[in-house]
This record gives sequence, structure tokens and C-alpha cells, in this order.
Amino acid sequence: MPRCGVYVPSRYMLTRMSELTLRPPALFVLTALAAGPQHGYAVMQDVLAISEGRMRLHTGSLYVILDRLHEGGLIEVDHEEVVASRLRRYYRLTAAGAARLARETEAARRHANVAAARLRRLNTLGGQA
Amino acid sequence: MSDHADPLEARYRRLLCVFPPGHRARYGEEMIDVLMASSAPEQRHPGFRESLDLVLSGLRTRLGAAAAGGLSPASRSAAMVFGFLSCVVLAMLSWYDVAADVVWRGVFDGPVRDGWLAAVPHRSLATGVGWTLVACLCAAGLRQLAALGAVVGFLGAVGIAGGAYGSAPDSLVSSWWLLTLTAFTAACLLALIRTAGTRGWRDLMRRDPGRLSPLGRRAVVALTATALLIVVDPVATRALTVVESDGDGVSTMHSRIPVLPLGPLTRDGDNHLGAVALVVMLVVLVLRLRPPVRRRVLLLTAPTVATAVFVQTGLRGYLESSARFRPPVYLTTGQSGALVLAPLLVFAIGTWLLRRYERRLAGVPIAGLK
Repeated sequence: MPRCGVYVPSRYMLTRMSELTLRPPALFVLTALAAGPQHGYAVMQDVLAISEGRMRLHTGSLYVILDRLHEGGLIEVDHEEVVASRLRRYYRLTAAGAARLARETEAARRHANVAAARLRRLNTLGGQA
Repeated sequence: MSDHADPLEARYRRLLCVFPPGHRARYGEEMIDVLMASSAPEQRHPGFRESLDLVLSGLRTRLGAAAAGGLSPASRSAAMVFGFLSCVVLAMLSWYDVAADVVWRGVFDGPVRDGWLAAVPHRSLATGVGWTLVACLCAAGLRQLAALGAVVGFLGAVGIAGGAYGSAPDSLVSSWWLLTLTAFTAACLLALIRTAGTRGWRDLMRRDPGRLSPLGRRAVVALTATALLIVVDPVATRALTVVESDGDGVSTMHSRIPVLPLGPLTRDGDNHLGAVALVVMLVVLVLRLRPPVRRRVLLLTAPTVATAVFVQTGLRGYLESSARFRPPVYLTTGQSGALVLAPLLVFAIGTWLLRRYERRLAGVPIAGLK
């Protein structure tokens, strides 16, 4: 979007996105969209369900995340509709978004495995003591 | 649509004004849809957490664009130019104080017997060295260190001026333009910390027609040479001044050459040719900038100039009375508020005018911009 007649390239934002670590709220949003195209309210409800009530996203935070993910090319608009004279936009995961979610999931799984193994050792040691 | 929807929706729309216009244009309507879907059936006012989240998210979006290197190339160049030039000016003002003190102390107190360091005003020497170092860090591309130095310089200036307020409040008011300049310098250098790449800083030294390069190497060298005139100005002034003593310890001074009518630069009866040359050089450099960068440099300079004008006109009476009376007259709440708000207001209005002007220009192709 031109600002003051000078174009700020979105490629720059894409590069920035791939360098940034995705925080848990953004990961939950990607997880929600992995189920299929959803609009903002549905994403909020889905994130609440996925996190078992621990992650409650409010509207302002949600749309900051959606904006960053969209600028970063990890999500895109699937379709729009007008409901009760208000715009409702549905988002879906892009291929890059799915790949990024897969990488983050794999990293989380490795971390979880390490933590589980160490906890088993800890419990074993505790039992011996 | 239920009865509660209209006032609640209106209140949500007011809260959404915290977000930047671009964000509101893209997401405003769907955010309203989500907010209304999240609201309770008879809800008439936004919830506290929802409101707080909207305000903080809006501010984060506004600030995050600049902090994440989202400054436009013109704004980035202007911040670099302004930051560098203001560091040079601040350094030269301090070096002038040092030189003037050494020269005139020699006139009235005789030769220095305890070594030159004893004759030098240590505070001015420290600020001169400090701002010179920050200017060098700017040109070298060490933006984090330059920003840190500028913040230290600003805090130091606040400490010095604030420390003198109790005994001489007029000194704080007189130096308010200096505090404004250091504040905007520090703000510019802080804003540039997260800009992409150090290449942008090298633009200060190289004129690349393909980019919005603000200064060329020759310009920086010429600026430095002109700025050095500030340091030798007291020597030249001393050479052109006749000092006569009547034998009772009273000295009178007059210039060998006519004093030029240059307003503040010659108010004290001396031709400060170094200062005149520096002002001319700064004007020439700014005129050489490309229009978008030049507009922004002028915008960044406006608060300092406005503060100086405001102090000399609106607070002239206060300055004169405070210097005369003992105990000194302190600022009222309104005066203090005006001093703080004036530069911010000038900057805000200037930013708004600039955006309106450039939005109008955006309808016309602008040559030379990427």
C-alpha cells in the first residue's frame, strides 16, 4: 500500500515473517485454520477449544495476528460474504502456512519428547530415593 | 438488528479509531462483525478487557509499523539526515562554548597557569566530545550505539537544565529549544535502530541517484569544515574586538568592524561569522535534499524552531522578570504545560499537514521515487 507516494514492498514483510518466531497465539490461529477456512469469530472460538479454555483471544489481538500472518503469506483470504449487512471474511492456510505449522509442530513434538523422557528419568530417580 | 446493537456498535467504532487508517480500512468491518458476535444479547457498553485489548492492539499496530522498520524510505532518510546534522550542531555549540570560554578567560583572567584543562569548561567539553562521538557513530552505521549516545545526551541535558531550575528557572526556559532538539534527535536515532540493514547509513556518505540518498561525501566534508568555523569563531571575534580597561577593573569592548544586523546571531554585539556560515551551510544542505526527504527534515526541525520562537516571544516577559527577582519566579502550571506541549503540537500538526499534502501529490507521478 503506497505511503506518501513511496511503495513499501510486501516482500520485505514476507522476509521478516519467516525470520520471526511465531508465538503461541499465532500458532493456535494457524492450527485453527488448518481445519479449513474460517472467519474471525470462528477462529476465536476454535482457539479457545483447542487450548482447552486457556487461550482466549480478543478481537484486537486476533486481527493483529491475522494481519501479520496475512502479510507474511502464511494465510490468505478464502472468500467474503455479507451477513446481517456486515462483511465476514474467511481465511485459509496457504501452502507456506501449512509448511510453517508443520515445522513448528515437529519442533514442539521434539521438545515434548525430550521433556517426557527427562520427566520419566526424574520420576524413576524419585522412586529410588 | 437488536435494540442494543446501534449504541454498542458506535462505541466499538470509536474504539477502533486507535488503529491506523489502513488497518481500519482492511479489517474494520469484519472486526465490528466479530465484536458484535462476541457481545452479550443486552450488552450496551464494550467490556473492559475487550476495550483494553482494542486500545493496546491499536497502539501496538501503530508503533509496530515504525519499530519493525516500517518507516518509508523518505522518512528513514530524513531521520538519518536530521539525526546526523543535529548531532553536528549540538557538538559545535558545545565546542563553541569551550573555545569562547578559553579565549575570553585569557582576556580577563590573564594567562592560564594551571594547564589548559583547568581553563576549559568541563561540562561543555564533555557534551562536545559526546555529541561529536554520536555524530561519528551515525556516519559509521553503528546505529544502536548512536541511539544510546543520543539518549544519554538527552538525559544529560535534562539533568543539567533541571538541576539549574531551582536557582535559575530562566536558564531552563532559555535552553528549552536545546532540550527539544536533543529529544527529537534521540527519537530519530531510536526509530532507526530496527531499520533494515546498515546500508542505509552509508547513504550519508555516498550519493546514489538510484536511492533516496540525502547527503554526498562532499556535502559532509563541507559541513564538517564549516562546523569547524564555529570553534575558531571566538578566536576571530577576539581578534576583531578591542578591549579597553579604564584602570578600575571595568572593561569595555567594541568591534573593529560594523556589527551585521543578523538578529539572534549578532544580538550580543559580535559578528558570529562561524554561526552564520553554519546556518547557511545547513540551509544549502537541506535545499539539496530530494523534496520528500526535505519536507520531513523540515518537519523534524519545526518543533525546535517553534520552541525557540515561543520562548523568545510568549515567555519573554517571564525571562526578564525571573532574572531580576530574588527569589526567582517559577513557571506556572500553564506555562510548563505549554512548554511541553508546544513542540509536540507543532510536530503533530506538521505531520498531519504533510500527509494531506502528499496524499494530494500521490495522484500525480512523483519523479525519482522508488
